[in-house]
Amino acid sequence: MRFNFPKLRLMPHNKHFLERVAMSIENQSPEDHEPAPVGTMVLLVLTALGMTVAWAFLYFGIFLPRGTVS
Amino acid sequence: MNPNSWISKTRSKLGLFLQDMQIEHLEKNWLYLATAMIGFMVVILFIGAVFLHLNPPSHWETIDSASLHLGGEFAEDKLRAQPSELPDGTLQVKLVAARYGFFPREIVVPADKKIQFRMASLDVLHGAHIPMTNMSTMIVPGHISEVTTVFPKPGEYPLLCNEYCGMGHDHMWSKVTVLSQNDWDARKTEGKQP
Repeated sequence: MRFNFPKLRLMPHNKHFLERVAMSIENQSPEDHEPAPVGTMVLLVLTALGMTVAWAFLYFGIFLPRGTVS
Repeated sequence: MNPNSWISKTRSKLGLFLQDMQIEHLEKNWLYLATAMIGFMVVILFIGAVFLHLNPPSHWETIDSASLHLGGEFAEDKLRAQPSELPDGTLQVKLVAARYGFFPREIVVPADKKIQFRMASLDVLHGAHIPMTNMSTMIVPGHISEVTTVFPKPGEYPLLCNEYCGMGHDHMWSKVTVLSQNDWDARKTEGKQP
C-alpha cells in the first residue's frame, strides 16, 4: 500500500524572505552588527536580576522557612 | 575590560562558537545572562545539599505491606500520637496509611525540632502532605517512606493524602499538632509523653 505524503512546499513570498534572512546573517561579521540600544540591554539585565531575586525570595523566604527537609 | 583577562577570553571563545551558529547578538546576550542565572542557582543548591544537608528524601527500604499491621515497628500497638526519641535527639513518628485514613489519627510534635516521619502503606499508593510545610511524600506499598523535617511554627496542621487512592480519598486526612517548646515541656511534665 502506498502512502502519498503531502509535500511541504514553501510559499513563494516566505521562501524569498527566508533567503534574505539567511543571507543577512551569513554576511554579518562581528564588526558589522550594530550594538543593541542601551535601553534594551538595561531591560535584559533588569529582567535577569528580577528573575534571580524572585527565585531567591521563593527559596530563602518561603521554602526554607517552612522547615528543612532531608 | 582587559582583552587578555580570562573573562574576555572565555567570552570571545564562547562568542566565536556562538557566532558559528549564527545567533543574533541580542539572543547571545540573553544566553549569557540565562546561563549565569542558572549557574548561580545551581551553586546555591549545591551548597545547601553538601553543607546543610538540604536534599530531597531518598530513603529506600522495603516492607511487607500485607502483614505490617500484625507485628514489627508498624504494629497497631506501636502507633502512638507522641513520637519516640532517637539517640541523636530526633523525634520519630510512625504512620500507617490505609484506605481511608492515617493511623494514628492525631500526632503531637514540638516546633523547631527534627521530626522523622516513617510511613508505610497498608494497601495502595498514598501520599502524605502537610500544607504550609515541606513535609510531602508518596507512600508506596512495599516500601517505607522516611522524611526528616522541622516545623518552625506551632499550630494545627492537617495531614492530607495527595495521591488518589480510591473513592474515599478526599476524606483521607488526620491532624498534626505542633506545640511550642514551652507547651511541649509542660506536656512532658504532666506525664503525657511516653
